[in-house]
Amino acid sequence: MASMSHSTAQKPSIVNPARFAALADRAVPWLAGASVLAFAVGLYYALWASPEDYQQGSTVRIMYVHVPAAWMALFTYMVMSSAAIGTLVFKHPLADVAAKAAAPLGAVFTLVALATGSIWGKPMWGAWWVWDARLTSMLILFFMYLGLIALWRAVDEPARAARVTAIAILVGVINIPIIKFSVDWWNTLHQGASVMRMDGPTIHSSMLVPLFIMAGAYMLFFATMHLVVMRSELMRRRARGLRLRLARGTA
Amino acid sequence: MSGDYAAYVIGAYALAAAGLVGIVVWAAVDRRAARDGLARAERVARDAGTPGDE
Repeated sequence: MASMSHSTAQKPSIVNPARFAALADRAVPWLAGASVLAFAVGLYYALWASPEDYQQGSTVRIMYVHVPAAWMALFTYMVMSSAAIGTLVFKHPLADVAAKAAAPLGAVFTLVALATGSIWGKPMWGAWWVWDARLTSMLILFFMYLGLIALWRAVDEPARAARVTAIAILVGVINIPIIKFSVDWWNTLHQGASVMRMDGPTIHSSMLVPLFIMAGAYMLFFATMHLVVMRSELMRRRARGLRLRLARGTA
Repeated sequence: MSGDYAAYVIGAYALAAAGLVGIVVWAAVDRRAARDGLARAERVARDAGTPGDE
């Protein structure tokens, strides 16, 4: 990766890791503030201002933390897939940094979606867990995130780790449409799509608005933390480059 | 909030909060470790007279 940073030292704009780091440092406080604000408004609507469901009662409020977490679990994987293409095709110096920084965030979003879904499932389905296609494919996504994190750690040389994980990410992207369409392709206990449908959402606006506000808050949170973790990864790579240069100089 | 399900709702929000706060804490610890590591590498490089990236 040291050679990668050399080759991009003269590139303009945010393609240059140093310039990206400066921009990230400026953007993070604003994104963090917007995220906190969005969560505050979203939680007010989710817990107080939105109505209870006539069948589910107050458990419908779990939707406001569960559904955005599930959306973010998929979105994060798509970010990683785009970054993987950036690594393999365009050899973008920040692509692998972006993918590596997103993986732990995606793993946590997936875990939150699984855990909150399980808590909703107990009173509504009578079971904490069922092996239906949606839940199982989400569990596989969680293990994929863990596997990718392990793969990055297992390969010592960063450029090689970037290539290997980029290929693994792109192989794993097949699971994303399986998750999305699992409720259409198989008979599942998990309900079908009720927001992202061709004929429009089937949820009343009094519940849809808080859901979108919470989704916006999750998205801002992701953007904030992704930049923070990317920044840390850039520092780690710069330190590694310095150590390598020193080792070569003293060898 | 209807009492029958309040514990489930509170549990779900607590778990979600734990996940998001967990990310924030981990990212802060990770950033501190990365910054310390970079400062150490820069100090060693400076002492050895190795030029940095700039």
